[in-house]
Amino acid sequence: MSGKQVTSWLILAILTAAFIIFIANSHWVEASLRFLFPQEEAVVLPRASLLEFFWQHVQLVAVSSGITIMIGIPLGIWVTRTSGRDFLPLVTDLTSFGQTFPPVAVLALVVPVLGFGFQPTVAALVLYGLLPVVRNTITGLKAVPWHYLDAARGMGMSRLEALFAIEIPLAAPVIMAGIRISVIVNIGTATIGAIIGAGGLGSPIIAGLIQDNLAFIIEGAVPAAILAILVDQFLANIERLFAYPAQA
Amino acid sequence: MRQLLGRDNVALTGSVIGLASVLFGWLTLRPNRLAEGTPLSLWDGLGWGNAAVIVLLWLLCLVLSLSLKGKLKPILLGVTANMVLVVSLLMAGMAATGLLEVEPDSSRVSLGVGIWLTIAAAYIVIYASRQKLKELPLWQHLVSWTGLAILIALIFNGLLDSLSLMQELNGREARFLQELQQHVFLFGISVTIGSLIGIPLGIWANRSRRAERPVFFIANITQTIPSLALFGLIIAPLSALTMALPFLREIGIRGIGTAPALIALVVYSLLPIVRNTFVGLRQVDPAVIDAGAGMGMSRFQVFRRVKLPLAAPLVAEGVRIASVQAVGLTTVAALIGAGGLGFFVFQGLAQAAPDLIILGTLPIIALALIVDAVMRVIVRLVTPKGTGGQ
Repeated sequence: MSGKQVTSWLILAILTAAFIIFIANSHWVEASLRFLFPQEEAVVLPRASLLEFFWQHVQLVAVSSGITIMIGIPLGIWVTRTSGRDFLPLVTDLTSFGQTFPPVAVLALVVPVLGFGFQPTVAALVLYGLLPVVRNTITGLKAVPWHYLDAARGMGMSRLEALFAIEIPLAAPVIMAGIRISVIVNIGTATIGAIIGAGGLGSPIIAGLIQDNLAFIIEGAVPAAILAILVDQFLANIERLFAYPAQA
Repeated sequence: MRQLLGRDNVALTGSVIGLASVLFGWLTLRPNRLAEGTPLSLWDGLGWGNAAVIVLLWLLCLVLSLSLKGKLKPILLGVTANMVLVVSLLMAGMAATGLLEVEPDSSRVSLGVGIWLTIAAAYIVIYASRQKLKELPLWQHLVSWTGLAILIALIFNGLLDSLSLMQELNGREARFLQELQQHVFLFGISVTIGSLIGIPLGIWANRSRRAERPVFFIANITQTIPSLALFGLIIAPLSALTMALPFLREIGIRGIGTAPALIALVVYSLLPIVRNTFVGLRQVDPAVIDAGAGMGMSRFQVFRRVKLPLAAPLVAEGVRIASVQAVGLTTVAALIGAGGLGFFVFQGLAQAAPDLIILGTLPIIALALIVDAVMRVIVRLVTPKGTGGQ
């Protein structure tokens, strides 16, 4: 790791710690919202503390992104193998076609099928989050030059060994970029998930919009925005770890 | 024998899903529009005769996808899949009419999981046959669109009116058109403003190294923020501003509604447009610019007649991405009182009325697909001849 990378991890760690300490302290949260909105009667949504909303949000995103990665990467690998090659055009087209769908639409359509709550929201997040992960896995694997694979086979590697030793490491930066897009979209869609009863940082925003309370809106909106930016930077740092130094 | 058999894995998958869909509930009968429904199986819902037709069509697809070779196979597969699509919805519509005659007035008949699965399966088969019909464009178009066209004709002739989905639309037509208009207005205006700001920003970032970093930093950050949070973050300062400056309220700008929605949508559309303008200008071959300058063009002429036309396809591509994204984000704008088709989605979610949710969602998806298709045509139109396009 270069010195520059160490600094950026350090800054990120400090900012994340500061952010969590702040939202964990409900007095600070209430005092700062009170300062901004002296005219509102209540400035924090009484239903749950900000830390609880934050934790629900993190759970939603972590569970759905975890499932997405566990399904998406193997699926992307399978359609680039001989056994799944027939499905490559279908899967590639579905992933680009699916991205035309608005994430909110996927979230809404899950309700008639699976109902309200945490699990249906996770299902919607997984469904939409798969698109960038699968697409980038395919793109990354297909970009591996064929003569590298030829060389690996010539060295006596089996197909499976070549996959793990050559293809996946070379495709890793592109796959990571897909995961990053997927997770960020999930954080955003999970915010709207509050509408279908998933909880999370969207809850204070929705409550604020319904009750016409600006303080509630900010109570949810600012942490949601900061969470997204921090996670994005975190994943960008990981992406950099995978990046290969330019070939000599 | 081997020569005559050709397995089509994708069509086979579609056919298997189609056959499996028969086992799920095809129609859902509800005592009223909000109540939990009882699922009706294919044969209970549509009757044995109709059920047999659908099962037979799917079996035909299965056999076709395992057998035959040559041009006839994808044509037959595509035609059969289109028939499944039309026949199952038409039968569902008629079955619903029959059911409503015997059931109490408030009853609703919705489409069940099985029929949605059949629609998805039919599209997998249609997709598989499309792939094989690349050399026969006429058949390819026929296979892709005939079923959909017939379905739209059925809807306009009222043959599906007994389905709960259509009943949700009844009495809401005026509101529906109004919200559709508002939706198109919101995303159209915001992408237009986004282009008017984003393209110059992209050009500026390309010209000056000093501008590049801050422009992309801000554009990246704003794109990362969850849409609902960004809407929220704009509401508070805007409310404060309208409190402080009453004349803003007089011209109709308020903390919630169209104004914050437009601001957020414009901000969101910036990143794809700025990025693509920047990349589009940067990838112009320096040798071509040199040639232009060598011909005696001024810097402005080089920009206007060489760089801009060569960058145009990528710029248009950026506008396409921004537009498709804006159609979806405009849906969320309904939450802050800006209207649009999201109105029906969120009303449906609030009432837990499944068919109203679907009624709101389908046009949004259709709109996104149409915008995507139109913008792709525009991208192709602005691609200069001889550059090979994309």
